[in-house]
Amino acid sequence: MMRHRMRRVVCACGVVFAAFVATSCATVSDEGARASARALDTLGVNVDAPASPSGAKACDAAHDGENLTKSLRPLDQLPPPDSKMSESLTRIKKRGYLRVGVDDETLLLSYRNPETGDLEGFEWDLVGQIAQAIFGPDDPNEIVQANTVTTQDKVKIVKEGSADMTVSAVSMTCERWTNDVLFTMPYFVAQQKVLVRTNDDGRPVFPDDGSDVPQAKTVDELDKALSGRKVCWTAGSTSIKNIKDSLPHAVPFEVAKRTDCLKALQEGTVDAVSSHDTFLLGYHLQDPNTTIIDVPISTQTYAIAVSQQAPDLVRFLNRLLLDRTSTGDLERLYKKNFIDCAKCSALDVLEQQQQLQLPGPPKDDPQWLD
Amino acid sequence: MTTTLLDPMETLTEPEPVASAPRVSQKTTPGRLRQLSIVLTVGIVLFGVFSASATQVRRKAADDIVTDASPLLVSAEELYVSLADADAAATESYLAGGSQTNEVLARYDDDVKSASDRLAQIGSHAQSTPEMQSAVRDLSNDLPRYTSLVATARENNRQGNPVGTAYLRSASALMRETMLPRATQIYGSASDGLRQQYATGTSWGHGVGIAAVGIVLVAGLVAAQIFVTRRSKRWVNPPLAIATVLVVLVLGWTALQFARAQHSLATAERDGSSPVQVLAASRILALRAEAASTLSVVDRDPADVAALTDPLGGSTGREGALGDVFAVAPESAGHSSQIVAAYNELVDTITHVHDSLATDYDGAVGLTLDEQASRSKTFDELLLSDVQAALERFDGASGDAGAGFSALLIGLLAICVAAEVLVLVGLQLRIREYR
Repeated sequence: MMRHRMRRVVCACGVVFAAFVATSCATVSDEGARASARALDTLGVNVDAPASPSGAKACDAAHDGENLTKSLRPLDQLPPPDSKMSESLTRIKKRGYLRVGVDDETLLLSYRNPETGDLEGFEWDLVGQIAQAIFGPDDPNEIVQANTVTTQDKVKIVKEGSADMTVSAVSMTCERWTNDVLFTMPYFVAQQKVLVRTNDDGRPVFPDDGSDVPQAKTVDELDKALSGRKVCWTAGSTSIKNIKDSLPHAVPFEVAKRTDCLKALQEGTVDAVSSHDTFLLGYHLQDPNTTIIDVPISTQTYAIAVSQQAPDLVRFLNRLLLDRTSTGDLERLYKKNFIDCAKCSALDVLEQQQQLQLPGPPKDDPQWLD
Repeated sequence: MTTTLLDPMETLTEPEPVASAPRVSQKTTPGRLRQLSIVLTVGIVLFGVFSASATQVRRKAADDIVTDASPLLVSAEELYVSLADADAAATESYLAGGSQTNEVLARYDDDVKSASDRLAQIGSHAQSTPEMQSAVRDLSNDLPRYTSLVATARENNRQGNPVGTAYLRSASALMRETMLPRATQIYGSASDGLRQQYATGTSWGHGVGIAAVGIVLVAGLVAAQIFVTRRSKRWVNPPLAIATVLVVLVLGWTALQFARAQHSLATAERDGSSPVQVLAASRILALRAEAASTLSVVDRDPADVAALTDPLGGSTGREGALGDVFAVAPESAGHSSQIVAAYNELVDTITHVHDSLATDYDGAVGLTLDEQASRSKTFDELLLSDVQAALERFDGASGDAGAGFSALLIGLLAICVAAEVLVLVGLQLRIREYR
């Protein structure tokens, strides 16, 4: 009888124990936990690895020195938009629109008007002329796909074929001729200069301590004035080499897009911006508390960059540029964008103050490669 | 307790003579009974202390989940959503240029305010870890920088200066590259914290421990009963028997309470926390897709739409994060076709935006500001209503989880005291018979 009782007690204990173990198994739902973990996973932040530069060939003498601005001989005459065109142009027409690398933040040359959302500027107008020469008199916004890329990528997109051409202040260099692209004849000549802040009296000053920027008439004096100062330039631009050569004592500060330099100057991150006077004029128009130091560091010649597989497109564009120059169309575009633009009155003042040479179309007659 | 670790000098001293008198009586029945009452007292105290502390740990875990960890997670989610939505709104208002709508501006202002409120909440929250605190500090420094960049971008935009884009880009980069990862980190910590609370609240160690100690105690009580029965030649010792029954009862009660709480917590996680987390991930991914799409319209650079939307719902709207939502969140699964339709409309709109970006910029901007914004809002509202439903169910289920522990604690202590008294009385009755 007693044993029986004992067995019952043991039994009861067993049941209690089993109940505990059983409830312990009903822990949190596995599927929910996995899904929550996945949910966290999907929110992980991926950082793109920087692209490594590919090996480049040495400069080809055929494009060096005085040969630098020589482009392919133009077509004898421009084919009308509805006629049969060469291979590259036929491909573009078949696609229905032109793919062009342009910038969207460079006032005067090519920028998006924040009010209308449209691209405007000298280069954008030039792109419009090119598109109309290929497709006829449509609205350029309809027949151009604007590929707004960083300075670093503007040659690359042409080389890799994701754009038919880049019209974005691309300086002709022997390295680019040799390794990357074909160039048309020059359409613009700019000078590399330096932009600094001014104080309320209009005197050039450094933003951090408000001290005056020392006067400079030569590149050497400029280098001395900027010694130890942070100078902003755009990654991938040809300016870098010139700045490093001409202003070796300046401290470089690199940004991805041109306008970032103006922001850096406004925020006091840098003491000066070194770039083409075309860009610097645009910065000055956006921020009157700046001035351009009129010491040219180097001369930059802009041409349209085209794929090395499309020499026929280069010949077509050269004929177009020649024709538009002789008809005065290019001059009109220049006047519209650099003299009569909405904000351009400020440029007149700057020019009067400094006898500043405005950048503009090349003066020399183009020369050709056969 | 132990003499093995004592100074060797001490071991050389004389053994204490006090032990000699009781040693004789220990072999007698009353001696054994006295020993028994000491052993049982120790057992009852151990059982009481152990089960009360385990119950307390459980109660705290359940309370923490309801009052701290879960609200913290919700705050962290809202922080992320506010920041991401502020960025989407800022980019849209910039894109709208001169025709900035008051609605978009109001949305931006609301988001910024909500984000700073959430930061204050999380910063002062009891459960936030040092990592969260430091992320909150960083974010509190970055938020004014962000809003000032957006303000400068707007001002330049108003004056027709393209440099506004540089400010907007840098604001957006600050948000996407620095602030949102920090918000993700806060969310991740809050989510980890909640998971740990669930693990504590549902671990089997406490239950098994109480069961083991309890069973040993019951075995001791039964052994004592047998011993007393044999020596006294009586049937049962009623006080001992009652004590045994009481301990068995309280063990059962504890098992039931733990099982019930565990079930509530499991339900709260399954129906509440898990759905909230997968829904949060989907909302965040949708906001990211919207912001990235708008930013690429600003840049006039058509985006890879599939890359933007695939993590959210894939090509069918039932993959990716939404796949998890339908698997885990019952409300969402209930109206999955509605959500999938909203997702597909959103994807179609974004695709449409980027298709027209090449040829019709104005059209693309219009689509971004009207259709994309409203589709994105519709989608977000669908998910948000499910989040609220999941939160309600969480409140229901987790509210139960903490209930009953106080009663159990009182019951445990009362029964231990009662059992102790009964044991002493029961054995004392027998001991007295030998006087």
